[in-house]
Amino acid sequence: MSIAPDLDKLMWNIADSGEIAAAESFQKRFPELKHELAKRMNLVADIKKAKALHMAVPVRPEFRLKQRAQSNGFKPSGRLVASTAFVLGAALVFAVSYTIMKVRNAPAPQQTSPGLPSCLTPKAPAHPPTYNSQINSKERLVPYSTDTQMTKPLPPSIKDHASEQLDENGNGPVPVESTPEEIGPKPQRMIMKQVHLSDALHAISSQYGLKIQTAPGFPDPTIDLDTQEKDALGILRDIGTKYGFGVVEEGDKSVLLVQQTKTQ
Amino acid sequence: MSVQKEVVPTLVQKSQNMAYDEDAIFVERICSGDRLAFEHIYGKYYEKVFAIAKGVLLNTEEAADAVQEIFTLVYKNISRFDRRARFSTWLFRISVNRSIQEARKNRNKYRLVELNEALAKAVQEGDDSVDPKIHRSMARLQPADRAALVLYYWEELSLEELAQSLGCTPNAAKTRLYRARERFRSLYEEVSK
Repeated sequence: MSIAPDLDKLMWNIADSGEIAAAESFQKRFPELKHELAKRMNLVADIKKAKALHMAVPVRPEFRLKQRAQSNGFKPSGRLVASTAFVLGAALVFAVSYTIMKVRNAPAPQQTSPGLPSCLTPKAPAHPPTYNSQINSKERLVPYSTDTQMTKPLPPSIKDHASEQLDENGNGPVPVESTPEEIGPKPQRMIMKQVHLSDALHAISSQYGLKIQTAPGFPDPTIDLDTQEKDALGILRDIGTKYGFGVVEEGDKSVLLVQQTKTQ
Repeated sequence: MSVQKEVVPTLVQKSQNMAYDEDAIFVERICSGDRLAFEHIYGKYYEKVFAIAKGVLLNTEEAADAVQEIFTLVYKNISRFDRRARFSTWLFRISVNRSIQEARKNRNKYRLVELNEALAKAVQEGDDSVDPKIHRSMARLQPADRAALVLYYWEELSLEELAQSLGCTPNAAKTRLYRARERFRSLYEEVSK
């Protein structure tokens, strides 16, 4: 059974008011809605009664201020949010612009000036320097000008080796000029006393890297030796003069000692 | 005679506004930092606020908690109170809004447990007039509908006061009340089957 909305509202109003006279008047006018009106009146009465069931009010506690942030807590206003977003955006734009400018204004790779001497012109190696390339390459021998700095210092081990390559002026090592071939190392003084000639020759052979050959029956007297910083051939000739043998160079760091025959 | 006619309504109006004036004085004292004035307001309105909270939340503990939060809100925002309005309607509005928020937060909780306990207690105490279907229907209502019914039937607010408490116009309050009643009736019939 559908009820017109205005009648429905009227019934609720009568039920809310609780006026018996108004209810009787309505029932006389709309006897078919008598039951609906009674239903609403009972519902309203029950709702009002239900309050008693819920209203067992507990003992009123002392008021305590709740610390939990509620809806009245800090809420950023729209203006604050907008201004914060604007500031952040501006900062972002500035950062990006600054980065782009910095990249664009970065110094270009230095080019060789025609007036500069080649020794002052740093040559960037094609590959990152390695230990061997640092020590052995020709670039390393070219002194770097003071305004040209290596971007990365060499590790200590490399530095040590590199410093060994420098002279007192800080320049790199100068290639040693090739000298005429001489037998053995630099002249040095050798002093021996009361040693056999064969032992002395053996020592000279070891010291100077000489191959010394003697003929069978070569004498082996006890000798005293003071070389006075001579080279290997000089030493051998001195000894030969003193003890009677000659020195024949055979090349390839080899000498032959020949006993001199006594002539009348 | 004409003078008497003008004076009498003024006096009546003054006496009607006594409660409003008393609350306004206490509000002023609270704003100036008088803690005792707030204690007075708290004591005066505790039961009404609790009734609203309980009616919407249907849970005693949650209602007690909500009451503390409601008075905390009042304490912190008393300076925002528009002195042209009645303090009680402002307080009820905060109570309704806060209780509805809490009820929505705890929507998934099964309220009928406590209702059944309350009904069982009522039956033990011999209160046969309580219809269990009423409580079940109330429990199934939306919190906002419950708030309208509670304020109108339990707190016996006028439509004007109901409108102020719900934060709407009197006509809107009337419509909301009508819809709440209709939903309640529908649920009641459903429960009765």
